[in-house]
Amino acid sequence: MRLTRALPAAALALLVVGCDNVLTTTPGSNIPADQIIVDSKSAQGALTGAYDGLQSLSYYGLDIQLLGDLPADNSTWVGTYQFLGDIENNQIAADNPEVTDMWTAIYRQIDRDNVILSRVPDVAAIDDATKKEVMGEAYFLRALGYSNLVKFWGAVPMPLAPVQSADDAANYTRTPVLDVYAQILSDLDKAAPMIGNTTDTRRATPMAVEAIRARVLFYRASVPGANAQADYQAALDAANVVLAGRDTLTVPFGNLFTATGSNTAEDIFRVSFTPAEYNELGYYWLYAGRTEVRPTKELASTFAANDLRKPYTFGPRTSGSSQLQATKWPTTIGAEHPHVIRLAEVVLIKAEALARLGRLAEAVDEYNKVRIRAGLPKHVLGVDVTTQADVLAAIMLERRHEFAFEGDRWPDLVRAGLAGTVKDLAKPGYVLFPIPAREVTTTNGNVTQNPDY
Amino acid sequence: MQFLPRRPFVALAALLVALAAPAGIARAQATGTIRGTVTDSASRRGVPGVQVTIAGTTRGAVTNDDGVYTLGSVPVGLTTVRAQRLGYSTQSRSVTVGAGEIATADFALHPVATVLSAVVSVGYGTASRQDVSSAIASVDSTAFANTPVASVDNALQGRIPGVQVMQNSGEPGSGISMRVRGPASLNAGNQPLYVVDGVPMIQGSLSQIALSGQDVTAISGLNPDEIASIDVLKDAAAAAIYGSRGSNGVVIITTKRGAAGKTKFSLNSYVGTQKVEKTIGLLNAQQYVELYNESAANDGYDPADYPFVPGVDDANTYDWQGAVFRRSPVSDVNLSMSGGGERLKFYLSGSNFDQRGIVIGSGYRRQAARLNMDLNATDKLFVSSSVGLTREDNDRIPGDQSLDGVVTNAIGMQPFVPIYGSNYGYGGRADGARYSNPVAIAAFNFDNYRTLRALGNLDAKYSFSDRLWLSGRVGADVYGINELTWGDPRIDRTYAQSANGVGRTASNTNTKYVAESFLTVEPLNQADNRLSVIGGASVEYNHRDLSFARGEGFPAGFSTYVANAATITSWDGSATDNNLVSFFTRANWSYRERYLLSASLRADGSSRFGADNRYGIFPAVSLGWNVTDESFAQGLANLATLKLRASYGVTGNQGIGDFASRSLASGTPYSAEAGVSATQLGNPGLKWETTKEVDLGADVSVLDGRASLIVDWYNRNTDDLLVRRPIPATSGYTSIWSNIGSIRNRGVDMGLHTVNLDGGTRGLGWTSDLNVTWNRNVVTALYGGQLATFNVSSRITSVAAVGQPLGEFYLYKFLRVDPATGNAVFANADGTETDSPTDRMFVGSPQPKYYGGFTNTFTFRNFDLRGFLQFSQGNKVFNMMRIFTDDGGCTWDNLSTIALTRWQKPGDITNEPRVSYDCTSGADVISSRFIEDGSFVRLGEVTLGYKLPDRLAAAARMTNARLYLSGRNLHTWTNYSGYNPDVNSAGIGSNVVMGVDYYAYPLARTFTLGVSAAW
Repeated sequence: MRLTRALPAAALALLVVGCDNVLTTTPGSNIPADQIIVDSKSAQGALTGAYDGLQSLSYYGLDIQLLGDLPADNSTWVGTYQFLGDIENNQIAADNPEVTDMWTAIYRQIDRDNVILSRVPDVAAIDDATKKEVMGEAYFLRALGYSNLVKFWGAVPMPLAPVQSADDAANYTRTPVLDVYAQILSDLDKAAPMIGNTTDTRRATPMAVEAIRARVLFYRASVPGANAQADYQAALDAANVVLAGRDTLTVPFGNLFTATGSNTAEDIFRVSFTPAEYNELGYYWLYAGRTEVRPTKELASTFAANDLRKPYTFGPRTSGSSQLQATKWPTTIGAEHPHVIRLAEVVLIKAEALARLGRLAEAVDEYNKVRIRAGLPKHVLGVDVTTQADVLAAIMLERRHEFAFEGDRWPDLVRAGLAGTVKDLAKPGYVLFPIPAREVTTTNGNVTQNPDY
Repeated sequence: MQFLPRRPFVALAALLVALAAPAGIARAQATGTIRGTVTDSASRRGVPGVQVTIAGTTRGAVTNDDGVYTLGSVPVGLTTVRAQRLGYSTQSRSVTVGAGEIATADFALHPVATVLSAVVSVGYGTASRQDVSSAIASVDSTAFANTPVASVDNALQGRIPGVQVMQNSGEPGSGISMRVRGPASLNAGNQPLYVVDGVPMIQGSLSQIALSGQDVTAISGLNPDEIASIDVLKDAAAAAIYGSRGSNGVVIITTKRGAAGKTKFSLNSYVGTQKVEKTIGLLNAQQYVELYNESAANDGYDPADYPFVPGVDDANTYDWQGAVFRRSPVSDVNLSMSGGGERLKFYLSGSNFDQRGIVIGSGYRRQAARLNMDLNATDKLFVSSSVGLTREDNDRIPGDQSLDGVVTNAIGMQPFVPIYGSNYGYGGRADGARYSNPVAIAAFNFDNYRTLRALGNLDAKYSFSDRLWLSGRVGADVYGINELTWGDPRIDRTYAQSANGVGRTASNTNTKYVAESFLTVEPLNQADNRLSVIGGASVEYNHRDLSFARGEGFPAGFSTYVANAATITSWDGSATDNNLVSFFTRANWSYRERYLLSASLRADGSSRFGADNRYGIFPAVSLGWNVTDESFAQGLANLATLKLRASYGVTGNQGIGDFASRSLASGTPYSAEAGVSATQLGNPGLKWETTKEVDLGADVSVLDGRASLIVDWYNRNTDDLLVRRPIPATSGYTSIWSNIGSIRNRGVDMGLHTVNLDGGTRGLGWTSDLNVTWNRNVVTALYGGQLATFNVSSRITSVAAVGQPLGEFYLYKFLRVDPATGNAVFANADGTETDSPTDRMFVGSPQPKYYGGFTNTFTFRNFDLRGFLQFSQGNKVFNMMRIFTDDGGCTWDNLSTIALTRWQKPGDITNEPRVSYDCTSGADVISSRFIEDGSFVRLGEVTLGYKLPDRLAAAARMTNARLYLSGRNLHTWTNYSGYNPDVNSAGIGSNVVMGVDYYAYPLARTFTLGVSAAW
């Protein structure tokens, strides 16, 4: 080739190469997604990122608590988001943004667990101790995620590995409720021996695994087709593991709900928040915030006047006002650390499991621990409560007071078959949330809608 | 419109006649020659390219560059010669030709202000309108000069056929939505590309602080006073030269430049006053108390539990709207100086624009300066520079959708709450207020947005010969933004109160550097056979640096700056880039000035596209035919000129995030420990959106140019839409950027200019300009046919669905109020009725059936009068304020007077459900009950001007002086119940959501008094 021809060709080649450089830009504040787990330190970073998923305002930052109460009888919508009113009225459209967002946030968190569980084993640069710890905690978080999903939606799609492509996700179908529970328990079984952290209650501990196991078994017991007696017994066993040697409930009750989330002896697992990584619990509940919801007067009327939990649960919205506001989260800043599960819940799980197993005297003894902390007189079997139904009702009321606005009331009512009694449900299927409309359409119906929606 | 189909028939008839003609003129006879010069009657210069013909024959010639023509072999005797050129009135004269002699016939043609003449920018060059065969609209600076609005796009509203300009909000300096021939994108940008003196401009809403729908726009940084002309490349054939950014049209802005000669000074200045055009009817205290008590009665409450005590609670009514609106001034001063010699010319201008908002607390100021220089460095080298410097200072107010909104709270506030009271002088919680006091918000809070901008370029042109030259350009747009906001703890019922003050500070610096060069060659340059070709390359770098901090908890006496905050609750520090490498070429061929052909090709490589799809290719071709220049159409040519155009082009859209195609992970800390998570699912195949457009157009001029019409039919199909496609959340993600789906825009746009009365220089003159656009927009394909819904403030409002126009409102369908119960009745999808609807339906489109503007200008002696009507018909507005102002007393908001027509007793026939304390009447259900007809006709402007008599002006050493009085937004005829039907609370970033009014800032009616003078 003559030089005269080669030169322009060379110039052109340089130009094209130069252009490729120009067109290869690097994100300044991101890294490629496939680079997140490369060594021990980054594996721990990915685990921290998985915990971050709990902080979503659509997960433990607000919705788990808000949407666990609003469909029930504890709280009423008084704000500006009509879709919260729909939830209160049990008239939830399948495209309700709050319900959709909660579903999304839980699956987003689960995906982070799945990324860890699928990648960490294959990265040689991660040391074994880290592998064990990171995977153990990820199993726990995934179990927690599915336990929340199955509680509010019933049968749900159950991906156990990160999605490979957008189209993969369209092929998931709903896994039957009992299969979801089996997977949750299997994850908890794996998690328990792997987790070394025993002190930091903002992260998974073996104790948290047992506590969640107790709760999961306890909820499964009321699922049709489950072996109820066996599950109550297993829940009781798990509760006993947690309670062995530690049954001190924190006094005063308000110490559990301080503005900065100070540690207490009752903590088992809480989600950490700071003013920057904030929750919106107080902002939604307090009169100083946007006051989307407030306690029902009916809830207030069920509290004994001298219940020590009362002042830490609700109060007048301004001094002297007859209008109520919830005060469990004392600030609008959002740096409280809401409890995912705490000792009092394990106590009440144990009490109810005992009662369900017919061991009424032990059950009363157990839930009396909670009453004592609340400054209420002990119940005496045969005096205050007599039948199994009495005991169960007393436990249910204790749960209502103890966990008001913490997101347990609606699942409790549904679990106990009381939802249709307490609330006026237009259709029986409304005990479950609708599957978000987007999930049904984007899977071309592979994910089916819940009945009656 | 109607005669259009007939035109081709006339042309066909003319063609048949012409074919039969040659036999008659073949006879040999004695001949002579006619020679002459055609000059412009105003400039006295020769006019090239004039068609000079012998009447009744096909014989003709074209004038050369000096305006000289020669017609040989003319039969002896008396002959009529006609001279004709676009932009001039046609002239005929008789001349007697002797055998072998040369007869002279000179013409002095009057220029006519026809839209069919001027020079237009076509991207990488200019062209004479008559050589253009694609759809390009031009706007002269008089259309937007001296208009009391901050940004030029706002001033263009209703002025350009095919271009819909939506105001969104009346806030000074706020973002404007411009749609060229309909919205064509779901998730990528929908705004046209702005090119200023050849440099694509940084545009969009770049604020880091969301003020709930109150956008800003980078376009406002451009001072309208500095602009000489605006050309809008409408069809794909015209815009394809801008390739992957052309599919929303291109707005080419040319700034003013100096001319050789004596230094000219000019002053343009006005002062004005503004006031809200319309307020909303709200309940007074008596009506409010009566209504809320009635709501308790309706739901069976005991009278003892009624919320209010008549006669006590409703003793006073306070006008909250009156408290937040004000009469406010606007002013503009622009001084410029231009001139120079043959070698060096300059244009220098400076201006100060100051607009205080009609809502207290808001205002916008801009100082701008520009220096444009042109230098003939050598015979071969021509260098020019254009530099504009701008400073903006914008006091925004949080609006729409915000609990801290000024207008929002003024509407929502209970009417009995006193405006002034015990809380730092303002009425507040102690006075029963459920919302924040908007007057206190305006007094204590602020949201300041300041910008500094340098936009400029340096151009060089080197001529190798008069047929070959090389152009080079480096350009830059550097745009820095500083934002500072303060939420004051003294205001009751705000988050800032509970947090002891919230201060935010943000800064971002945006830079764009462009370097390009192109070669222009004219292989053929005879008057009747011209070919010019350009080819070049361009590279563009865009970079953005961001920082942000939000602090809460301020010690007493401190405010604003986060340095004093107890905690920093949120922060940012990041950067983003995108680059573009482009190659382009275009050929324009004009044969005998009758046949026009233009073809272009651009290849764009963008760093935003996926790794597998880096380069897009965008071809275009257009054809033009000046029919009346044909000999067969000579008979017709005495009556009219007709040009037919046809074009086809492909353009792209790359208006997505810089890294939208990548799989990315972000920092996700927990418990103050660093964490990381995958946050975006990538698509390496991601590419540009493609618009293919066919345009058929005609330029018609009749009566010597006294009526001219430009009309175009177009069909735009946009495919491979850049869509953030929803995917199942079980994937851990909710969407992925994909190229999916299609949208079609089809329509007709036309501009008609008529000289109804030609008054000469002193008599009564009257001209009219009418532009109308009919656009039909429909979504033709989406992923799997799945519809996608879009929200405003977490509520689904709008939808993209196959077979529907983009942005169709998607709500529950309200049928009526049951006369027996007063409850609202809604429709189920299956046609049955319900009181608790669950089926959303298509309930109206925000897109107009047609829209446009109508301008009439009268001149008489030294007076001129201009009136401008803007209209939009058939568009629906979702009056989303009514989800609170018409919710049957479900919240404690004050209600619109619409509620006075509510159901009160069995048998009442009304569309207003009964009021209900427990929200059980269905009045609070967000439904089609709140969809209103947004059609409007607006008297957009009336201006009366008076030109000082020359004698007087000369005495003041001025060459020109004019005084004018102008009114803007004088009246709007509409059935819409809100402030302004031309609204969109979703702002300029929104494609699908249109026509949603969620407490938008209302429109100002403005009166200005101005002067323009030159000396």
